[in-house]
Amino acid sequence: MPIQRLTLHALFIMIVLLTLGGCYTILSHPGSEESNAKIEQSADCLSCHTEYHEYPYGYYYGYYPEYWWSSPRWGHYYAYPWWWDYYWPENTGDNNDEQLAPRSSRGEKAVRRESLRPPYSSGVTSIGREGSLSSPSSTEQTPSTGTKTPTENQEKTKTEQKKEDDSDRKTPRRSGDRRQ
Amino acid sequence: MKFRIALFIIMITLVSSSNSLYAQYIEQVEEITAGNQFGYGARQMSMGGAGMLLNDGTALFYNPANLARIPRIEINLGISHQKFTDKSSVRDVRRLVDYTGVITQSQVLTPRFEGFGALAGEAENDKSNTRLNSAILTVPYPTFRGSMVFGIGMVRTTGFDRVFRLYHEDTSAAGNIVEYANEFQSGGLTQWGAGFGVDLSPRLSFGAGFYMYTGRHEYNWEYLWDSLGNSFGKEDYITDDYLGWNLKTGLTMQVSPQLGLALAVETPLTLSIDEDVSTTYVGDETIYVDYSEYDIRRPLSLSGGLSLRAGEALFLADIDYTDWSQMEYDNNPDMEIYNNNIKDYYRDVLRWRLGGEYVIPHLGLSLRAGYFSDPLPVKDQFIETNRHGFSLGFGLLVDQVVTIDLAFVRTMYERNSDFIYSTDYDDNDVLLGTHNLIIDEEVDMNRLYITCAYRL
Repeated sequence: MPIQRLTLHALFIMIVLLTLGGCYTILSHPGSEESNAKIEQSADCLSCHTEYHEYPYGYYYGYYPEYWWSSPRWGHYYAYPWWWDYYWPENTGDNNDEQLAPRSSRGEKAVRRESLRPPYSSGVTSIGREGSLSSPSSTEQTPSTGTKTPTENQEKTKTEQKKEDDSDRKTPRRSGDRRQ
Repeated sequence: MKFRIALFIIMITLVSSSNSLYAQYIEQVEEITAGNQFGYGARQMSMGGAGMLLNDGTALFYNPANLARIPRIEINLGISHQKFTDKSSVRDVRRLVDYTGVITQSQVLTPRFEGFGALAGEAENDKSNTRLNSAILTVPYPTFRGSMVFGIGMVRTTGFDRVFRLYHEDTSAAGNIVEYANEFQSGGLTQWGAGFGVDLSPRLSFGAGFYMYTGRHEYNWEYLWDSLGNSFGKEDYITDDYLGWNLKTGLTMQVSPQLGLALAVETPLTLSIDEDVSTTYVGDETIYVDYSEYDIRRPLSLSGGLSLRAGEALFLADIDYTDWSQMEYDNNPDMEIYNNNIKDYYRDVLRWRLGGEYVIPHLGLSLRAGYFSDPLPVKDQFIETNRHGFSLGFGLLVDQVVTIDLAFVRTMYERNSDFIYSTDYDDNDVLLGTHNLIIDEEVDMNRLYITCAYRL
């Protein structure tokens, strides 16, 4: 049947074009083909990923219901990529203390249950409901641990961090992308 | 199937048959694979079957683009249980159909039945089956941006499990003509699939799947007829083995954080059918066997979906459109002559499904409900109440890695069909017409779906 064959050919061509031409999804980090890939990842991620706060679970525009922050198991199940744990520098085995940021006094209790932070976000990042982003500079960042879930990660990370935010408000608990 | 049975009766009892007779009995083209979607995935089924924008392994079959939204390796297993109930009744009239297929009269009696009055007869039968509903493995490939997810697995896409019972009497002063029959059908179509979903942009995902269909339809028909001491009995056992393949592509767009849209195109499905028939007659030890092969080409299907989120609530709406009148027989000239009957018997169908979910986060609990319209693909004249139903269910998220979903779905419809009761031939054995019984069927299907998914 000519029409059915045409449909099949059109679908096949569409699949090939979209698959090969759809270069939005990338399988390797730009410039990370060299052996220093891990070092690059542990550098200033936010210098490139300025928009990361829009995608707290990675580059996914989907809606993150409010309850995912209060009950992180939902976000873990529906949005936390399994391979992110393996992107953390400490999991590479070639990490060392020289790459860690110097300890500094933050003067306040560390954030608990700051759920679902992507691996390339360094330090404590606070995102206001209005979408403003504040984060420490690369020299002050603290590498994150490679624990299974962001919640556990935050509970186990006792790193002190210098506070850059001029405001006196307490770093929000259970924070994340609250664009709503 | 009913046609073949009825036709066989005519051949045996009324001397001979002809191609013209075949051409007149329109319901012979009734295909059990047309429009009898069984449904898969308890979460989707508890929301009326709306699955175009849900993110679990069954996305491989609902909309492959949604595979891109699965971030973890998932093993998805589901079972289903169905209780099928059929209440049939035979109208106290007959339909006279002339050799051209035109209905000329109702409530008529041929000379053969002179003196007999038709009685309305009723019968009921039911059947339960428990089947594997889904088994799907989904593997996301690690990406630095976007998403690329592969899936492989199977679902039970069409169910053949059903029953029918016929009881009919013609009464006269001399005695009654009694007709009694049982129909048992079992089996189903399994859809095996392999596909992928990939992000084309932060908001747009594309997916495609390749599917193979396998299945077996087992059909059993027991028929008894008694007329003033003359009796006739037979039993047919028919098996159809199915093999086919097709493709499906889909797009999902997150228009805004709350609104999602999806589109999918399923290519025509060509099913190759090998049929074995064996027939036995009461009082005859001989087993008569027959064999045939033919293809049936199901038409292209278009699907669309919409999702709306508001807090803990999720609303889903799916539609799909299939023009069943474009279905065709192929690879068998004896079957291809019925393609005109397909156009007269089938029609295009727009299915729609609505569903809602409300999450109680701290309990890990989701409550769900849905409603759907799944019209029968046949012309209105054969339908009393179109197929529709509702669904209820819930889901549990256990320890952030396992979901257990349960759905109850109730489906109902009422339809009528013709059953050839007697035929008229002239002195030269030329067919003049048939006298058909008109059978009404009231069908209820209660289905239970349980799906468990484990995300590593």
